Amino acid sequence: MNKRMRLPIFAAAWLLVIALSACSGSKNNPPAGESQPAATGSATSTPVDSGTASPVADPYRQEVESGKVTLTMYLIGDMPAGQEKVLEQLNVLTQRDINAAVVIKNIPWGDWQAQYNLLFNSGEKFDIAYSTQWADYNGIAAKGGFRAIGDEELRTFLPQTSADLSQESRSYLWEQVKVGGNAYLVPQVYDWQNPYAVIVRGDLREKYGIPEIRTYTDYLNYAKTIGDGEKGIIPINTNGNDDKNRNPLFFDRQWTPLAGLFSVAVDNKADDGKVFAILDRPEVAEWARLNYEIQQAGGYSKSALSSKTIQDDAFKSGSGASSINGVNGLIPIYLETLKTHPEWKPELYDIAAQWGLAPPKGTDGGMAVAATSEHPERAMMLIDLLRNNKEYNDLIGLGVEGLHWEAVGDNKFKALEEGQKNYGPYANAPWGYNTDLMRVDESTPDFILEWRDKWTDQVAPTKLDGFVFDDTPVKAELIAIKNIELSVVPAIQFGLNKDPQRMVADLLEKTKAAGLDKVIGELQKQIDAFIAVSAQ
Amino acid sequence: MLAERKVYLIMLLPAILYFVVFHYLPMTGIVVAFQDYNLRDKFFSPFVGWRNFDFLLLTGDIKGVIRNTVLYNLAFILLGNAIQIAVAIVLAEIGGKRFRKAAQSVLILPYFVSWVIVGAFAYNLFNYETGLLNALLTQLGMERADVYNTPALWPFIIVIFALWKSVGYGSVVYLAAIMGIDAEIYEAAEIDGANVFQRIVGITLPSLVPTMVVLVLLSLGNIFRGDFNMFYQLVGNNYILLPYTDVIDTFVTRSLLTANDIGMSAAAGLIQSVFGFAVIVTVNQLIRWNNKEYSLF
Repeated sequence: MNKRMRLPIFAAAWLLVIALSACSGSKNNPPAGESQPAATGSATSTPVDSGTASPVADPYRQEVESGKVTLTMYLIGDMPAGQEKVLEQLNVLTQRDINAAVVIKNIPWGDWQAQYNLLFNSGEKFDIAYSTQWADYNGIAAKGGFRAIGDEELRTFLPQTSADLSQESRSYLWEQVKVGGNAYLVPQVYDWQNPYAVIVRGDLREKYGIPEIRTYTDYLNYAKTIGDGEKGIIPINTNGNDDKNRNPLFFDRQWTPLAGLFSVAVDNKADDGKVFAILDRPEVAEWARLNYEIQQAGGYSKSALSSKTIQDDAFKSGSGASSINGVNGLIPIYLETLKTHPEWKPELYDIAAQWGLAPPKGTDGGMAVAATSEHPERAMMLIDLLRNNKEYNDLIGLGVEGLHWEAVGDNKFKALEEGQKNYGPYANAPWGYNTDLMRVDESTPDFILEWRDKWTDQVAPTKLDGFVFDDTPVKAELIAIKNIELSVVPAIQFGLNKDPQRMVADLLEKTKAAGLDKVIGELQKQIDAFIAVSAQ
Repeated sequence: MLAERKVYLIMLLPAILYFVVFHYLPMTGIVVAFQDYNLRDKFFSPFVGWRNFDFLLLTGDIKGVIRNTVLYNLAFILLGNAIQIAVAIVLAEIGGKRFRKAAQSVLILPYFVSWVIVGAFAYNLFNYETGLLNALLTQLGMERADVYNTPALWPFIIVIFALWKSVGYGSVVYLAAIMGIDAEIYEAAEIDGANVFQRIVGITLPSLVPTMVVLVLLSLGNIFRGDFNMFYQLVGNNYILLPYTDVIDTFVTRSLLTANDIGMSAAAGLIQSVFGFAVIVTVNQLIRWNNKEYSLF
């Protein structure tokens, strides 16, 4: 080859190398979830072949001694600034106890669904992820995204969890997390309830003579009055995708929506297991009308549908005058506002618990082991420790003791300034390992503690608890209906149409055309079967 | 003959390899559109025929959505190319190398701004309570404009934003083509007495026709693909605006965002590709019958 050609050939070869290097990694097929059969009986069964000949070796110890591994854990929620320090300390503990290092990755709230689903669809290798019903636990488990945890493995690698779940009052949880006969989730559970509550501005409430807020309708009237009176404040300042305000009667659990839709529900008061379409009920028409009036009065933002504002932030900054959230999420806002703007006289109202609270479900939340995990047993051990070991639980929930928080007795804590700034108490997606070990903030107002006691008495089970809908026969219809709902319901929620009754009727028509009756039929069939089985 | 071209073939090799690996081999994935894809069986998931396409038809809105997609893309292609050519010609005529480079940099900048930021910027501009536009209007004593609830405005708003973003980038190609025209032809025309406009219409535009055909034809292949980022960030899930601004990509994303169903997403993408392919083949054939030299293949 002569000199003239050397340069082009060299350049071509270089380009080739670059092109090929991009190919690596994208074709790796992760090992399909190795289904570990739930080994029966013998305590000497060793799921990990460590090569030692000792027949009475403890599998837990063997796994720990088999070598140091690094575990990757995914949590949902923005990363708190103090996580690095917490991770440092956590790694010290895990190195000591299970010979492992831990890496935590956070999926920020904006667009979390797409990123979370991508973890499984792309076959990424990781070990642990938080999972829950609202992150499609059943769907991902059915698709093979998680690794099954056998009953034997539960006893061997999750010993403390196993002891906790074998209590009489808790054993049902392990059955509830089973999908197709296998359990994929280590459920968290604690006795506190977390119903929706609302925080409002006491100073504005007094100014306009609004009585205390007892029901959701009272809350809407509060918004209407304040919207009318205060022109610079939007009482309910939230974005179009916020569905907390969307469900008029789901809010206090009179009705429970089904199949992830807005249009279909069961009546908990009647508890007759009858599925119905909510759109032709007078309560919904009334809610639509009220929303329209609130919009006219300036209670909602006119541009809410395209906004990205978050209620909590709006309340804290003063551009909003209320917020709805689970009560555990509102308490920090309440305490903060008392410090920064005491003249606002923030008030918390517990308006959701009246009709009875749902008993804790196994799929409310927990940690799952990924199907692509290369160290599933070690991952299970880590979950066990985070969930049941006080040292771990305090660390991951509250931060480094002495830096972010300090202990007040055995089960209370006081958040230090560093903690409030960089690692908010129980703010780093702790819902996967919340248990009775959780500490109470010592500055929690007494009325909250009273409420919590009250709520344990208000748990009202219904016939449908534990029911999971298998949507395969009506998948296309569900998707079409969800599409319609996602576009129409926010407009009704924010009263953005001159004729709200027409809109509700329209919505009913459209969803019926997309197959609502078929979905209701399928739901009713499965519910009847479920009730028949659980009645035995 | 092959020996003479050896160097060129070798230089072409990485590009060929890229297309084979990233565009031809993955075509086997089309099968996913007809499967109930799950993570365990992957490509051997159960076959379900046309069922993954059902959800597109069930809402009845799909006709309007396709119409929106096609019309917006036609507007972008026609207006976009026209403005890009105009900009390129202006830049070429108004001499001065420095000015040209500075102008190009400024024009290209919007291309690199993410639609997320543009969406936030647009919200701050248009929103009813605190938007800049409404602040101006109230200062002038006029009524506030409820932009986010007036659907008729939005085709214009979207086209303007899209053009603002892409014109700078697109004009680069045309500018390069213009620079490649032999300067002697211009001088000859000037000597013959042609003024500026006659020169542009007589020399520049005809010379740009091959480039224009290639670019328009390539864009036509994507005529069934809406720019998801743009539509989603500017409009969001705004029911009032959807009949005017919903395109196939936003429609599918809204349907499947929580469904997490790979088979259905693949089905939607397949429809877009198949229709786009049909369009590009047809138009290319039409051009061929007109003038064989200009067609792409």
